[in-house]
Amino acid sequence: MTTVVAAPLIRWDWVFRNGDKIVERIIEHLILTGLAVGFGIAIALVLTAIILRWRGAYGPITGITGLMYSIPSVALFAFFVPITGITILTAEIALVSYTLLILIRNTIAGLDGVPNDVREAATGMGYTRRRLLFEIELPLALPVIITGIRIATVTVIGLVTISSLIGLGGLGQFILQGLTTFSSPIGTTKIFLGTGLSIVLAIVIDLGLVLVERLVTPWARRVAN
Amino acid sequence: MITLTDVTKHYEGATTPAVENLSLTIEEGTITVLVGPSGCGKTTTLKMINRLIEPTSGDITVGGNSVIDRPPHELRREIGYVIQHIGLFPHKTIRKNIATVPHLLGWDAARIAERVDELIELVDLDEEMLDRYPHELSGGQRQRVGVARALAADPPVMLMDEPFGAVDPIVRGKLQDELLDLQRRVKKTIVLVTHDVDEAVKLGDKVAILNIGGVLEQYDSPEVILGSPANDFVRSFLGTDRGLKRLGLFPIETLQLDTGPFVGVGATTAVARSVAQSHNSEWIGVLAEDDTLLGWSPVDSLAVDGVVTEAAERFLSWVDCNDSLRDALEVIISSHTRIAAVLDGGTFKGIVTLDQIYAEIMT
Ligand SMILES: Nc1ncnc2c1ncn2[C@@H]1O[C@H](COP(=O)(O)OP(=O)(O)OP(=O)(O)O)[C@@H](O)[C@H]1O
Ligand SMILES: [Mg+2]
Repeated sequence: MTTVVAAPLIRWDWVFRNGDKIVERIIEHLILTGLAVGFGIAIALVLTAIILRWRGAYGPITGITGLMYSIPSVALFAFFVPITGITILTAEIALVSYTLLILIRNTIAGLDGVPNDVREAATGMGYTRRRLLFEIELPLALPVIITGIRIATVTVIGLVTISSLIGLGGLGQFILQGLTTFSSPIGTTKIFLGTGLSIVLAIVIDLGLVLVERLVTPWARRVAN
Repeated sequence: MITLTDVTKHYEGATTPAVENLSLTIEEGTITVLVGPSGCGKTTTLKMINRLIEPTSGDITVGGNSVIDRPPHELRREIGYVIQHIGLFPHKTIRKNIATVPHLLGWDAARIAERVDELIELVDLDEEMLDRYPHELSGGQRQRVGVARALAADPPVMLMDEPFGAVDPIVRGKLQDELLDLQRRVKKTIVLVTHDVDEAVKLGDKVAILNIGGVLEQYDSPEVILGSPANDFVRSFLGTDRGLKRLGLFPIETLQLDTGPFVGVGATTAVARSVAQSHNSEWIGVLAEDDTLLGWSPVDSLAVDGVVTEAAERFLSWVDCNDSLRDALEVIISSHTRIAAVLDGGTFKGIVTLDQIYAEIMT
């Protein structure tokens, strides 16, 4: 005769025993996310500069980055693994390509949203094209640009979880391990841990970016008061 | 001095030029107003002076040098600019907004701070506003910041495109007075665009009346333009109350004032009657000992033999010697005595009659 004892969904004792491993995974996750968003911003800046210089480039650039955005990440991994192997590079290519459309579109939208009379007043008082961009247009576009960075970052945090599928680190590792040992209590614990921490990480970083936005746009803050 | 020589602007794709063969000489230290119906090319003309718009042909000089010979951003830092919708920078404090051109010119912080303090006083704004953002100011205050910002680096030339267009008539009148007051002190060469004739004749030393296509219909002092319009377009643009507008240009102090039927309190009624008679008047004005207005009495009501001790009626309105003939006319037609008493800081100076106003219009 066997008795079925309902196993707990989360084995907290396992969680506490593996604290250092969890922290390690979180750090990996943050590094993968940071690299993707960082490179994403750098590449988006270059492409945005090209668009600002040649307005006609907007269509082709958003077309291509839009295409990259629409390819499922798993397919992209599969496509690059034969070329670049199971490396961080493979993951990052996929991740970065996801951020570009969001970052570029928001930056351009933010710049286009600068009121024309402001631009004209600045030019009329002797701003050069370059100083106009850096001292007037970019600061005024910041709220929209930061919104773009927020969306990109949260998206990437989710995608990094999936990148574990090709064997890279991050919180997705827990989920992957959990799936292979699904029937054991440790397995479900790992799945819950990986999923839950990804969500918490996304929320915390999003809130942090909101805070950054408020800090760098003091004029907008006082509008609400 | 600013000169425009045969300036034409033909926007790409437009069938007719926005401005065609416009020649204009703008004197140093004066306010020149460009006025005309909407779409006649006022803004286009103004923006060609600081090269926000490049002329299709023709030449423009500022201070003797052709504007084409200078890098636009350098030229613009020497020309104050107030645009139609002010265009303050929403992300910069009032202090930073005002300091825009000094900042571009690379002044040091101490010099900028000193200049900002000077300007805030010049345009009559409160110092506590310096650390606010533009959206935290009223429309009238923003206009003043716009003017202060244009004046910041003390440019010899100022371009103003409908600078008071966005505020209510009372504030506009006040801002206009302040601009005139400011101009007496700073003596800039100002080119101001408006579509309001009253504003043009009030502010302009010279007024240029433009027609659609940037055609210059008349360019002269407001007195001459209102007194002898060059053609039907100008006449209809000025409106039917052209004569009244013109009266608004003459200050009362230019008149030789009549003393009027006035006696001091304490005069005998016999004297009062004879003063009234000599002025052909049915009433007699009474002045207090310090020459302020006491009021007036009908001659009929004076005692046969006695002393004038008080006045039966008060004057309900009067004018100051800085006011215009138009103001005097207003008082004349709304008072029982049919004159306008003229005061100088409360002291009686004399009267203006309808005949005098007629005589002035005729000359
Ligand atoms: N960038 C432009 N491209 C093409 N046409 C223009 C441009 N700017 C102005 N125009 C045209 O040139 C003419 C003159 O315009 P402008 O703005 O100088 O008029 P305005 O006298 O300032 O009018 P308003 O009193 O309404 O401000 C108008 O017919 C206008 O439609
Ligand atoms: Mg205009």
